[in-house]
Amino acid sequence: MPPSSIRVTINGREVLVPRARFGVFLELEQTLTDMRDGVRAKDSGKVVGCIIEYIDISINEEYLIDGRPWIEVLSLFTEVRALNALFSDIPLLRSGSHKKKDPVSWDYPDRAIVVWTHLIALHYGWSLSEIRSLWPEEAAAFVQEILTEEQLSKEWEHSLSPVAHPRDKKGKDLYQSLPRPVWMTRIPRKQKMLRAGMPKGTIIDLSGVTVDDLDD
Amino acid sequence: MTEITLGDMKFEFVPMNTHEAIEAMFVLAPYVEKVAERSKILEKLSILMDQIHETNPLDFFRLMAYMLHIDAKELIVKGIEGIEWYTAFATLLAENQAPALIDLAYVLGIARSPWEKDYGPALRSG
Repeated sequence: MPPSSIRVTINGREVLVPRARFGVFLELEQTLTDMRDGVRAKDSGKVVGCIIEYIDISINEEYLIDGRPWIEVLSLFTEVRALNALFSDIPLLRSGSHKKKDPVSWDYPDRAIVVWTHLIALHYGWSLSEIRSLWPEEAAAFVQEILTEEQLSKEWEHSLSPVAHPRDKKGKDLYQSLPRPVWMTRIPRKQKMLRAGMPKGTIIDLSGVTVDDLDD
Repeated sequence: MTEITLGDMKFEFVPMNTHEAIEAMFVLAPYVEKVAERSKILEKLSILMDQIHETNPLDFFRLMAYMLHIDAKELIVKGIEGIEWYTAFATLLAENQAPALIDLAYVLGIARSPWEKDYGPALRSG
């Protein structure tokens, strides 16, 4: 597990930066998403704004990094980001689909924060402050359990529905199971490569060789 | 205090602020990406300087302007010899810790490795 806090020096002052709990973690993740949008749009103002916001939220103090040289600000950003990185083997987090989903009509800014909190509150009945004070890894484990239960329940209902049992011309049942999310699919086994299948011969290092060096 | 001389202009070196650094990263990114071996750029900044100057001199002036905290138009003046530009540019890049700047451009996703362009950011997060 990462440390629960780190000490950083900003403008000659030592500041204690705590590791973000779930509530703050979701805000930080939203800021990172906005920053990535800024990078894609080549909007330097947005990128800088998000970096400063990320640091401000993490250290829970505004204007402390104002006017500091870039190396100080960006080093602090990477340090704080590393502190708040997720340390977990939870499949839900590992699958990480980075594809941007199509926006839906009921979307609104920062909805992702509400969705995660809502999911946990709905199933466990915990208060908002209780949910926000979980460690992000704990919250992710709970969310995975909720989603697993929901998926298995849907699969059971699906298996009972005629939609899951199309028939061919001879009337044979062609059962079609409900597709699972990527993180629930089986982990592919490592393929062993036979020695005979490996390339043979002397290995020539071609680094630094240009087209002009080659014979016709 | 490092001093940069360009013709009759003299500048005292002041590190870039975050906004200038991010702007500089956006200008540098396409040039950095062209060199397949990232370590080569970090070792030898002259490769990068040549690339920028040969491809688009305007980018050269834009970068200089960010590092000197002035408008790029002020820099496009006649009578300054090539070697003087190069010396000033190299000094500014070194003082602004260019290898760290390039490294952070990759960390922030402003510059992207060729494999990342092909396979998307999923691989970046491991």
